[in-house]
Amino acid sequence: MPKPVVISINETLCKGADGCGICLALCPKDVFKIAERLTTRGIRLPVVEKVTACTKCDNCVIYCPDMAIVVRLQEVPEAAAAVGRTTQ
Amino acid sequence: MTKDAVLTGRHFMMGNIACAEGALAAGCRFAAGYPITPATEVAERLAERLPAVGGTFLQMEDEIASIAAVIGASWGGMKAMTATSGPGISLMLENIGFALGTETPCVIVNVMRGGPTTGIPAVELQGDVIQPRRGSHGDYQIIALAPSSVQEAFDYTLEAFNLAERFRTPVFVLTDAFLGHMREELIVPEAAQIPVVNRRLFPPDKDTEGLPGFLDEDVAPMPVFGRGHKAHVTSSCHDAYGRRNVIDAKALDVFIRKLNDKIEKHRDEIVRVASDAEGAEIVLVSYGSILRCAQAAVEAGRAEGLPMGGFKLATLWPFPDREIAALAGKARHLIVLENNLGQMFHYVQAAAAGRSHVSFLRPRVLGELHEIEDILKAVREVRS
Amino acid sequence: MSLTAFEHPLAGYIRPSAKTTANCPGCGNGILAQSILRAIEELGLTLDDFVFVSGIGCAAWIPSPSFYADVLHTTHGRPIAFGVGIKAALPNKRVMVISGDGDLTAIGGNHLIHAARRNIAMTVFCVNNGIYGMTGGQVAPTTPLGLTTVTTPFGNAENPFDISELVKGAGASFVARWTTYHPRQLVKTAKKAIQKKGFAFVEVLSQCPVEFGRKTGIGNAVQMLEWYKTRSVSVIRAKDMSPEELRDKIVVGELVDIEKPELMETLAKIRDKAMAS
Repeated sequence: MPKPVVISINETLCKGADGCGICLALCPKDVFKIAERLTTRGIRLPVVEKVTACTKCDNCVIYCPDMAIVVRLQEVPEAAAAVGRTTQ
Repeated sequence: MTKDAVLTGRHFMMGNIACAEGALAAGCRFAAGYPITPATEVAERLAERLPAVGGTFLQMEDEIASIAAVIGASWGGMKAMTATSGPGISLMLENIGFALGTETPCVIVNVMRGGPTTGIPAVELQGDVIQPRRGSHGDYQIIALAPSSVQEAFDYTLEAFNLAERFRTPVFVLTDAFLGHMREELIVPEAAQIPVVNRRLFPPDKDTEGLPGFLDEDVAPMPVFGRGHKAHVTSSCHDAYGRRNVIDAKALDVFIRKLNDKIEKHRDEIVRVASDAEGAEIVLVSYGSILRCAQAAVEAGRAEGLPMGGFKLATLWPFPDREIAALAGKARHLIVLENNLGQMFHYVQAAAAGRSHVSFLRPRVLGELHEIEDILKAVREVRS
Repeated sequence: MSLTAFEHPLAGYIRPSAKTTANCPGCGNGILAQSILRAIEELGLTLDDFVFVSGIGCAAWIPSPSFYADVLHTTHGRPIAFGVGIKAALPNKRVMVISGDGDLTAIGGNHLIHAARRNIAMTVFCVNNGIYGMTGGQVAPTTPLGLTTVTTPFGNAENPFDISELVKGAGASFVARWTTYHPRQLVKTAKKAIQKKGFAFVEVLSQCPVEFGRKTGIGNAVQMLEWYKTRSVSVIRAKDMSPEELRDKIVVGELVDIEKPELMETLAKIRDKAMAS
């Protein structure tokens, strides 16, 4: 059952969907797709395409080798206030 | 077994046992080792004595594991040691390098035996005296003490712990099969009379990310494990916070120099010699058990009017180069006595720098103590 | 631990100066790192309850320097031996060794079997990627027979270890095996291993996409995880399978969980008795 979530992908920690791609492969709901453009580091990040399909199974959070993905329930006020990517 | 770590009193004791007792008096409470002739009595004594004084002895699966466990225990806050012989030191050298690079206080006793390789386990040689200085790979400084009596086996082992704690470094105690197995008088003072040095500890309320460049200090405070310091300890080249840097040659330059300077800058505090060469033309330079032969030769030689004296190297490393240079400036001829094919001899010769002639008396039989008459013959020859 | 909106739930366990890792993209080590930290958190423990020890290799870089804790990064093959000394000095701290298959079973094999034999209380995670990754893909004691690696260019002529069987044979009181495809099961097993009063060994098959996957043609990170998934069979099911059926399978789960006297406890009793008499 989909839950209102905010998914953030840390651009500094993520090593790119082409070399890794684990989050894309292990998401049961195809929430992610690969970005079209390279970042300045020369990698293509995973991008959230279908956030409403997310069931907060946390696969992407648990399987990301770089701890680059955070999935928060939208009830968390700070999370609801900012949607999309972060560059912490 | 007694619960007293310090066996105050007068004893008739074997060298290896005295070495173990010196360690206990210094506060050693962890020892790990592997049996090897002629060092095994040190381990056996520690195995007997440590539990009653609240310590732990572990016989490990090999010498490599022994020195590893010693270093681990030191990082857990304990004073720790191991005792072995030449072949065991050869195995341990990589981890001794680890102790050097991570600045881990610990004591390593080498009861030297007949080498090279398996050699003869129960025969004494002084064949491993360069090994502490150059045996582990790379540039480093080491401290090595050479006791020449049972009393010194106790005293120098105690001193080794104090130096290890003071300078956060592994320290060698080099005895041999003869010294290790002979029995002599040992006098152990009251515990209160024994100077004991403890490592400087990291500030209790800090962690290693928060204390700016703490490893830059001359001898840095040690962030012992288990106290919340969150210490990252690695023998990789590291910065002043202990963070690995395997990219910058400049970082390596700093790392190497810092480790070397730590000992070099303090060499005057560490180096110890003893001179009985006042006005002597010909001086016998020696250390360890061979010092006993030299002392006997000096006594006999002076009785027959030979202008000779003796010079003892108590610390082999850092090498007493300045002290030898000063001696060479006053004497005419130095004869180096050691039970090997000439190891410290080359360092003595280099330090004398031509100020006096330096020769090496090759032992008639490697593995046997020098005969007094052989030494006096060499002295008479030099004189003429 | 206060978290900002986008801070990973385990971020507080990571050393502030070591947030990024040197791991290749897709490396399985980070998955194990998360599972270990999650297990520690769920047990209500802190990293200060532990001392982490690791050897040389990519797996050894899991705690070093990333874990914000006491970490000893040792010489190759020796973390267990160093860990024995640490445990002797700090019996109330939990010693955790995290290192690779080459480190722990090749150069370090002797220390592994003796620590298991002694049943010394420590948790050992052996990260098995079937290759020497850090040095560029040389054959390991766990590399499958016939595989082409940079030091077996004509095919590996050696049979690989079954590491868990080896450790079981050495007498360990807890042995388990999972892969990085099983992070949730890993958390459960890690919790048990940490709590075990004795030598607790967890073998974790972890994908090395560059040196194993790419160089040997097995595949990328995702393909290797798929490979782990399809080849894994639970220890319960495996009991009813023949050696032939099990030939290319990975048996996962808890393989050994027995009670035995623990070394440091026995030594403490000896010490207490000696001090009292």
